[in-house]
Amino acid sequence: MTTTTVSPRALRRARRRQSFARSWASYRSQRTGVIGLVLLGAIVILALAAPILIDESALSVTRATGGRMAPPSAEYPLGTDETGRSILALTLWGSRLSLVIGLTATVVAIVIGTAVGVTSGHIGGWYGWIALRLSDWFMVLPSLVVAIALLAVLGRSMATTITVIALVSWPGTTRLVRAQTLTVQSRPYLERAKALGAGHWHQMTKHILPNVLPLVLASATLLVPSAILMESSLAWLGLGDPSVVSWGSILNRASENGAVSAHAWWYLLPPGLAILVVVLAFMMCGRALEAVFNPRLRGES
Amino acid sequence: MTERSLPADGASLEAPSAGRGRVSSGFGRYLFKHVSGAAVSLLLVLFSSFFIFRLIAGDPIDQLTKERPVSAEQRAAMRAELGLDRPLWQQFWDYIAGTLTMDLGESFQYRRPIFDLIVERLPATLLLSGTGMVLAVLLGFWIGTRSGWKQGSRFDKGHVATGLVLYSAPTFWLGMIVILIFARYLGLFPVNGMRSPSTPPDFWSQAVDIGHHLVLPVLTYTAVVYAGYLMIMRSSILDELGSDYLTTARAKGLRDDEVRQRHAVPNALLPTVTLVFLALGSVVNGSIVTETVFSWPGLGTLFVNSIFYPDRPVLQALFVLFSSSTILAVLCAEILYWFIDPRIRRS
Amino acid sequence: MNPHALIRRCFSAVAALALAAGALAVAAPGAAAQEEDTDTLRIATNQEVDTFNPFKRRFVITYETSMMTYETLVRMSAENYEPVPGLATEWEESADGLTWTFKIREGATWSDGEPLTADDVAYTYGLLIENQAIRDWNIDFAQNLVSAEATDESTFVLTLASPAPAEVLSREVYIVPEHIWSEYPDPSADDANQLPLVGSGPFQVTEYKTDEFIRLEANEDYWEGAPGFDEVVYDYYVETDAAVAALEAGEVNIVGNGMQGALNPAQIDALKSQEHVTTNDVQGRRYVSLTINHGTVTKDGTEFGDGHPALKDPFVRQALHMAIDKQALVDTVLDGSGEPATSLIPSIFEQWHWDGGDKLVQFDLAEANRLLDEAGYARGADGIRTMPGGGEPLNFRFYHHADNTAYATIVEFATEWWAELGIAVEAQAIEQGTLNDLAYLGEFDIAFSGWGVGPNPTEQLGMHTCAVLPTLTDGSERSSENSYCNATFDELHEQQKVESDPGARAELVKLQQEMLYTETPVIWLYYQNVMEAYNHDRVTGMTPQPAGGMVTGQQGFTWSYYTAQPAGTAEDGGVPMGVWIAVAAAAVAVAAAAVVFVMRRKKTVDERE
Repeated sequence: MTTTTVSPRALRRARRRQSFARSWASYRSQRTGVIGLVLLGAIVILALAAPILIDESALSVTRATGGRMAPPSAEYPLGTDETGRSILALTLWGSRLSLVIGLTATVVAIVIGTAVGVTSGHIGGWYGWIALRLSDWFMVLPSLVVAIALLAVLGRSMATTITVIALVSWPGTTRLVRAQTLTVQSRPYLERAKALGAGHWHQMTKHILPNVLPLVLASATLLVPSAILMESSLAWLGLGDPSVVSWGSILNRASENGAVSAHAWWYLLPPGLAILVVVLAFMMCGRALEAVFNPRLRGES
Repeated sequence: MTERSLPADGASLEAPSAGRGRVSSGFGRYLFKHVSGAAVSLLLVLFSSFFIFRLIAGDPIDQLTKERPVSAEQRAAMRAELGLDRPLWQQFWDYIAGTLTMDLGESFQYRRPIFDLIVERLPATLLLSGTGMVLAVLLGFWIGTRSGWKQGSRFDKGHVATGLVLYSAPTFWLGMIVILIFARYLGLFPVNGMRSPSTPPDFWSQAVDIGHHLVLPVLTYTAVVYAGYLMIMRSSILDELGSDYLTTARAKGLRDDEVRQRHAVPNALLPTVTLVFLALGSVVNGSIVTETVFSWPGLGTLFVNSIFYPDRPVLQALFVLFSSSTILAVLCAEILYWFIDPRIRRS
Repeated sequence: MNPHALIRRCFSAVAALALAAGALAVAAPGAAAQEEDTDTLRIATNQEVDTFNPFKRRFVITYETSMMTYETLVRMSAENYEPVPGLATEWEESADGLTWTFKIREGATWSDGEPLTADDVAYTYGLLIENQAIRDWNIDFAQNLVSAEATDESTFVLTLASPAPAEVLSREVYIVPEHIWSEYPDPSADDANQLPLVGSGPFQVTEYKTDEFIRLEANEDYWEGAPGFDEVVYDYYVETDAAVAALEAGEVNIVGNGMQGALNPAQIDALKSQEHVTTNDVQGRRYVSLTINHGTVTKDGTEFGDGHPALKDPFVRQALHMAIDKQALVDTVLDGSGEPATSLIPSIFEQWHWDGGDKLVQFDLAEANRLLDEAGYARGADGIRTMPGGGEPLNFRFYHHADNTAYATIVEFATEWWAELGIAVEAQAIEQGTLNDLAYLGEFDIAFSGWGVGPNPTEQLGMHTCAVLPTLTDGSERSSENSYCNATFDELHEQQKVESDPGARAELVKLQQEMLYTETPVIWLYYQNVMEAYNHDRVTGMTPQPAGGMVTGQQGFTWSYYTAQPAGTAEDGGVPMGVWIAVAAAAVAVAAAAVVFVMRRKKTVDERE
């Protein structure tokens, strides 16, 4: 026996590496995707570096030195809010919570959505039917109405905001994953695995999940911007925790304090533009990813 | 699906239920399946609405007596008047029976029948979201068709980019900016509301006044959502691009725009029509935010105000109204799909 | 099915729907008519009418309409809220304080021409005694009434169970016409009063359209003389911003108390630059306070709730008090439109307000730290103080109303100040309803509160007496502001209630406030100013209340609107520029739609990109 045997695990790893490289090459070829990725990277770095760039004491109301809603000046390049704090500092620090809320809500939604999708597709039966009905139900309800209602009931905090956004976002993923699960399940190798005595758990984690994950990833990138937009809408409506500094809550304070009447554009523009840029960046990445993983769209720029 | 969802290229053509249309040996069966599904959803909405809003903490009496010290007797009198002293099951029964007979109860805040409140405010909502939606659909489909047809052209790239940027803007923020520029700085349009109280009551003055108030909200609403329709139409056209019938049409010697208008557009349009119905959920979402930022006296503003009151009976009724209208719209889309997509019938 | 036809039908259906909706909205009844020769006083409002029934109304807007439509026996003066003659020209309290005799004004008539007599007064007070529902609604006052009689055309005698001079003179009982009200099957019902209302005041409500307007027409035969304006119209503006814009444009004359969520400093600043607008930033009747859970108890002494034990210690409460720079809050949160508070009677009621004297607490973090050190609250390793002898750290739950951004800012300030004292705070934004529930269950440490204070101090002080402590621990009885119960305080309270001499009564009331201030169950933060603005090109001569004070939000009589006079009429410009732009925009939109339709059928060559 002189043939070198490659262990199945190494083989699998090599195959994964290869397919990843292929996807990356295909992603790289899309200009908007690359721009989005660069933008995102920059934003994440800024958010992480916020404590280094501007000390947290800039958020303190007792130590604020600026005037009330003062326009941009050398000391405050983006002006001040009604307590005399720098809008630049608020916007920069706000990025942290907006991103955290958006990402956490998406992760929660994706985990629930994937779990329900895979299990309902794989197990089927009564459980599958109920899961499908429930996700369908959530899907048709107007999400903002549900989110507002739930927040009114659950109270306002970061945790409830995340919960509520996740709760209205999971059914999309469920539907996607379920459909994909059904497709994978009809493939011959799964029949083979079943014949070889693989249990449900093995089938789901070793065969179905790896096949579903790329799509989930792509849809997750498109869920984050919706989550961020929703968080900001809820916070602006006054359903967020007012003591939290997120872009939505800054804008809520701005409108509550009459920034529009006072023509305080410096109070309105920075947080809103920040939301716009982050959402746009995620959207660009998401669309590029979708093009990579959805073969029907290959060849599109 | 959150605030609004932008269909990615190509993802749009999966019908709401095409993926799970397992067996459907006939229209009757198909219809029954979807109607019964919608009925179950409606019942769930009806039940959950009652219980969700009952969980809102706080004594409604506190709200009614805000800023005035009240005696225990006064509280009891108000409680009885609002029917809050009745047992829960009885309140539930009243609610179910009432909702089914269109008697939605009385608002805590306004002390008037909720049905009247809704009837009063519905036209404002329909006017704003109807106009906004029609404009968004027309604009989106029109640009989307041309974008898809000339995929990769400067027109395509420019419009997709513009659409995406506007799509990424938070509706409420865009509204505030629009107010700041067009109402506060330039003074061209009213700050908010639907009409000025001092307008003469004759039809034309009123119409002009309402039209004047309508411009900014519709502008905001359309700007944010038209990109969704643009993308749908664009990818739908892209799907048709390689089709044989287009080649045939071209071979017959038809001009490019003739091929597009006569063959590609109708075929691409069909599946997207149902999506217009499916988008009703996002219409509701969008109108809530747009109405709030412009203080448009519609159902969205009523809902948001009632949350802060909190006006439980109104919330209950509006939740049922909003949810059931999206459920029914989806049902319509599903039924329409039967006629449009032959694949469903075949399966 | 022909796809073209289907699409076209879809489109036309949608378009038709939108058009129909538009037509519907437009066809709805129009707004207030603007007649050329009618002088109209236009006031912005956004508050719904709860009921026009003066015995049951609770909202500010219906308080104002009741005050204009009907009248009370005794008014509150424009200068300082002192009782002055209204429908009664004079009155007399018997020696035992139980019998009151009022002389009713001769020559007063109802707006339908019928004369107003002592019988109408007796009928009105009789409703408070005999009509069960009306009595329940006003039980705090009505339970003390024994009988109400008209001894002749112009003499009314009221008998009480116990003396209550302040209550009798300041309680606003709106005299209603017997000849109309006795016809109602149920005078306590919301719909008992059909429009137009019949009253004896300067203006009567004649017309009301939800979310559009309330119209009150002047009573030309008013006994004191016809008012200056022919009518008062409350116009509905959903947002204050819109009302401000309308005031700038001259569409509305007064923006103030009628708007809930009143003008903010930014709006006042914007209005100041307008030549035709007078802005008023004057003392208001509202205080904002922090309620401290110093231990919640029922009437029989059962303790309930879970307040932090350290807050039972007056030293801790005083240290918290000392570590709040109220002036800084006024400057930042209110932009200077207010003043630091001492106790629960705002300084607008100067005869009742206690100014703190030499007991006034000064902002002093070092002194507050010293107080806590001396009381034995040592700092732990993390810098947070603990209960004397070690144990529970001073970590307080601090609840604020989630929909109030001003409170959120105050919380940030207080948190930072108290951190200097080694006191940690867990701030939480809570829905108003939940916050009330928790507060009355005693499940909080520090929470926000705030009240609009009336001219009779008894109302506010009464919320701090033992008599209103709950009997149950389930939080359902909500009359006590903060479980405060002190026998000395109650004694003072009983004395001031029956004291007929205003000077002597003021002394008692001030003593009560001083007790509350030094014991600190509540920290009063500030008294909020009222901000209002009016168009002085259209309206002049409005009498403020108190002297130099507000023209909106008056109490006891509608001094300002009654004395308001129309000023020179400014011209109303033609169609504003924006209308034409709107029409143009609409035309463009329609054209665009038409183009889309036509394009689908047209066979042109102009599309070769």
